Amino acid sequence: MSWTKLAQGEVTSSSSTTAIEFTGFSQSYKHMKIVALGASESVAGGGTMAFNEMKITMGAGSYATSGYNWSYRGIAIDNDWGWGGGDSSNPAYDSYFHIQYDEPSGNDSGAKRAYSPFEMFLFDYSNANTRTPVYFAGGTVYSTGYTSSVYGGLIYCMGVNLSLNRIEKIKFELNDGGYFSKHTKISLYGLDG
Amino acid sequence: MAVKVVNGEVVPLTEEEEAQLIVRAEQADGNNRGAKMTRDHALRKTDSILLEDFPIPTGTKEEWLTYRQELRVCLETFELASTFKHPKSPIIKKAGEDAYNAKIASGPTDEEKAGRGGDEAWDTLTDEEKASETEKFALQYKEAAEMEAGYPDCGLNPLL
Repeated sequence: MSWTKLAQGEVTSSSSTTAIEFTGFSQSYKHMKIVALGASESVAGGGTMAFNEMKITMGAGSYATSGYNWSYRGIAIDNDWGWGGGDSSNPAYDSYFHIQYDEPSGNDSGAKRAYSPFEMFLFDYSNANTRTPVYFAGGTVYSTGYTSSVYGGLIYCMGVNLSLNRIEKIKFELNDGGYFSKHTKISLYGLDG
Repeated sequence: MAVKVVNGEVVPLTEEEEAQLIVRAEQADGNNRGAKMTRDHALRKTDSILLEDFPIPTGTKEEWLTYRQELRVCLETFELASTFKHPKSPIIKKAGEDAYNAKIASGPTDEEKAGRGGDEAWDTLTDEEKASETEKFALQYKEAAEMEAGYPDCGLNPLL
């Protein structure tokens, strides 16, 4: 067995990129691995951090799905902003797998950088007759110009896409209307079975 | 112009997607989740204040209890994330006040005076105008010191 790259999307320009989307990728593999680096860099006085609240939507012919059951555990480092190592679950999301990448609130005035690598597995993504278990592991490291403090955290999620449809479309976007910045890169790999 | 990347190709957003983007940004600004996360975290970190043997680093126990009560009710006045201000803990307040008072005492630096037209222009100001200008600098120092101390968090590390 080996991993084969199925598709890749990246932000190479300074255009405000709101979503990275994949459609029509191969259905000839059993499992899928997604490897990504989300990046955000803003200048001093740039206001709200761009990379905030990533939302992952999956589906078949359309993005509408039967919902997810999932739970996550977050572990914060240093001056965390709320993940706190707590347990949480939310079966209510009806169309997406929603990952928190919240920034600290407040009147940020310095330059800011956030990097959010993550890895995700979709098991049996091409099978039309089973639900799709999902595993996600990632995190964010965030720093600002005005302080030496580093904010960040790790997040682990496991869940099930309740739809019996195969996964034919995947979309990554930022739920608060922010932008993926240059150097964001997302790659899809398939594992033959 | 906003774009999206579809199968590796950059494509412009549709009018509908552009409109959705604006709605989302407005909804995000009206969402208190981030403010609540910061508030909740500050409450958790200040639980240690209630321990009898905890060495309170700054302020009195009563001041910290007042701060915790302010945290509990602060979201009642939440309107927008972009304008919301969390309460300030005794550590944050002291950092800000110390920086403010130090700046009032020292006055502006030569560099800061240069930004106001230099020594000669500064000397033409009345005492009242000098005090007003100095206070503007002091408020900037105060805000920077509060940030450095950890604001909008409480600035307290119970394990140190």
